[in-house]
Amino acid sequence: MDLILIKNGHVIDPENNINDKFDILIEKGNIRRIDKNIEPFSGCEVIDADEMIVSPSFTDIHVHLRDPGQTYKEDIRTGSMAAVAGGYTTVVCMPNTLPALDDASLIRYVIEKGEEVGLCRVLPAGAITKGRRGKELTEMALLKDAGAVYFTDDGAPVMDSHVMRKATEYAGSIGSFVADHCEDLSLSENGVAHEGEIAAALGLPPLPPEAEDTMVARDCIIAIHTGMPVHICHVSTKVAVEVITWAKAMGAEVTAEVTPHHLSLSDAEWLDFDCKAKVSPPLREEEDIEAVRWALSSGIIDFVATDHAPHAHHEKMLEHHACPPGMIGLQFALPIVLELVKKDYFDMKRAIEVLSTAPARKIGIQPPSIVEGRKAELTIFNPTESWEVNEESILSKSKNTPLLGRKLIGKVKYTFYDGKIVYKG
Amino acid sequence: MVKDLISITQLTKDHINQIIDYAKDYKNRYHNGETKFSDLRGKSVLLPFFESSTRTRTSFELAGKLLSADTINISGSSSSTTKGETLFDTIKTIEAMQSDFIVIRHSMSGAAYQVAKHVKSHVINAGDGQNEHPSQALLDTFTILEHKGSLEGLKIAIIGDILHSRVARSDIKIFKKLGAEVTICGPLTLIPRHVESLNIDYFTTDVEDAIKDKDVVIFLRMQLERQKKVFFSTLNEYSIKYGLNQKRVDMLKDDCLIMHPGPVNRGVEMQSELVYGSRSVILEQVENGLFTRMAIYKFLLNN
Repeated sequence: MDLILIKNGHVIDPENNINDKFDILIEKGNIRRIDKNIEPFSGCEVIDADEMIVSPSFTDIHVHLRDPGQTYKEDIRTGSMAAVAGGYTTVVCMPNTLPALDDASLIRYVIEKGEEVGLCRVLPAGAITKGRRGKELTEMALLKDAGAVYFTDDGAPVMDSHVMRKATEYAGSIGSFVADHCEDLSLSENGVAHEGEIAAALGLPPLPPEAEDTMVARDCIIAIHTGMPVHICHVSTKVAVEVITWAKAMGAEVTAEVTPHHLSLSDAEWLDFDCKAKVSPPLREEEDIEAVRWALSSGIIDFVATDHAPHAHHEKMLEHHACPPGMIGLQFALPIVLELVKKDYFDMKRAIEVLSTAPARKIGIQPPSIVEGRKAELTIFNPTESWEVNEESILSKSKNTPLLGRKLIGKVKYTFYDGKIVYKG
Repeated sequence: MVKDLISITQLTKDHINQIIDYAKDYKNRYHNGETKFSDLRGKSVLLPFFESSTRTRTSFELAGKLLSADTINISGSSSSTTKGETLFDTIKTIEAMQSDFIVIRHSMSGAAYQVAKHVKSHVINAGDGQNEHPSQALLDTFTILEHKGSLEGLKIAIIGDILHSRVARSDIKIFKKLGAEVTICGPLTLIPRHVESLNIDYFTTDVEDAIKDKDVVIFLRMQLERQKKVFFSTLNEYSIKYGLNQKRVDMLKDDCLIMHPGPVNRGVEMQSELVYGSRSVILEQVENGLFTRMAIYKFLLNN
């Protein structure tokens, strides 16, 4: 279709301060006109976006696509399908693959595979250390040249503080940054569930919040002294929020993300002892959930990232200690963020910011924007449509989420990438 | 309908009384010379124990045999997953062998709950990780009732490693359900951080404070390997600060019962000569365990 007219949508683009009803005419993939009331004409496909929101597409800087090496869990094609169904057109995949993304050839492999699938932009994060073993630095500059957008050993923390300091300095000096999965393994050893009332009552091996909080503090202090950026992955505790608040006030270049599950689910998900609730960091308690919501509202937490972590059914059937942590998230971020809008934590503009522009800017790509002349890269969603999370509606290869069987409100109807409709829901 | 015995939480007071009544009945009849019963004739009891246990397994096995069931022990380590077999697969296999009862012990909290969801057999939790040990709680209750008649208003103290204890979690639930007042005591490093979620009445780190004016004191077994994980310093210090000695026995109420789920680390939880001392009902607990477990089978079958 050469001409597409999006009628009556409420367009919100924080980059350009647009927040009003507009019609958008797309010609050969390019946004040709944005105006009040553009009349449809023959040969023009019309998308009725009445009651819907049209926004720049979303960016998720933290997903696990499991390719190479664990494509029974997910691959770049199924991961891309889940991404565009969630309104995302840029995803950054984590380097904890087999082998780890610690070499330029592997970085190229992911990028080329993503381009071959072509549904969205798949950008890799490179490993900080070789084999993610926490000892020797990777060739970060060469990985960056090959296309790595930042560096992390995600899934594993950088336990050695000297390594973390040097990695922070080196990544910063080449115009990139490190992101840390904050978990002091000596504190979290053998833990399964957040050390709260639920773990105490059920006798589940506890994961203390100190494991996250002390590591966040260390990384913030490294950011202060080196003057280089540090990004904190998946913040989940109220104390970590306080530490980040303090570091930002000290002028440190610290940024932080939060996942949809830490914004919405608590350790009560453990009540049936099912490993679907196992994730790292663990699902916390109400006070923590409240803290990360307000931090996202105020900007102490900069944006949302899903930590989409697919695992096969049989892996989630394993005993608690053997079951891998993680849950999928690409299709749930929008409805969970919209619920926070409904509950007045922030407005719709901030919702779009935390899903779209803020994370894009963090990884140094031009945020998608709804302006005349640009390739259409936008998401149309119905903020009030309800849908059920089930085996069919989940497009990931893996279905591991505590949300199975639950209803969510807010549904992506169209995702445009590179001028084309890549998802229609 | 109660298909399984997984947690004390699922039992009403009536359920508990029913089980205790069955246990009393078996005990009386046994002591009157009736040593074989036919309640479970033609039934099979499979006992997959993924954690080592002598007394609980023997007790459940003998209870089944006294009721004329066919019992089969299945020993395994919790590491069956290393062979790529999940707990679920193991249990489905056991069920396919036509088990009427599955008595399971496993190192994972919630293991019995998970298993019960997936099988038609009656599942009995013989200890799951640090979560529950309901048959121990029932036999403890039976033993206390024999001496005290009722738990209503009784003051009970549980001393030791509460953090890792499934016995404590089940005992607290049943004692509270039957109207007792529960105090727990131990070094702070062996107490769950959110101890209030255990629904106890008092918590103290002072053992002499804990045992004062109590009707029952229960000492928990100290797991020696906890020392390596820095949960306490030495057994010597633990026994001096938390163990039962003659001086502390003299501080007890005259009719206070001394209990221990066993096996006792002599000289750690209590001085050796006190283990079978005059106020100790430790061996009664073991005997009552047999009749309580017979009662549990009957309860699940009849319910």
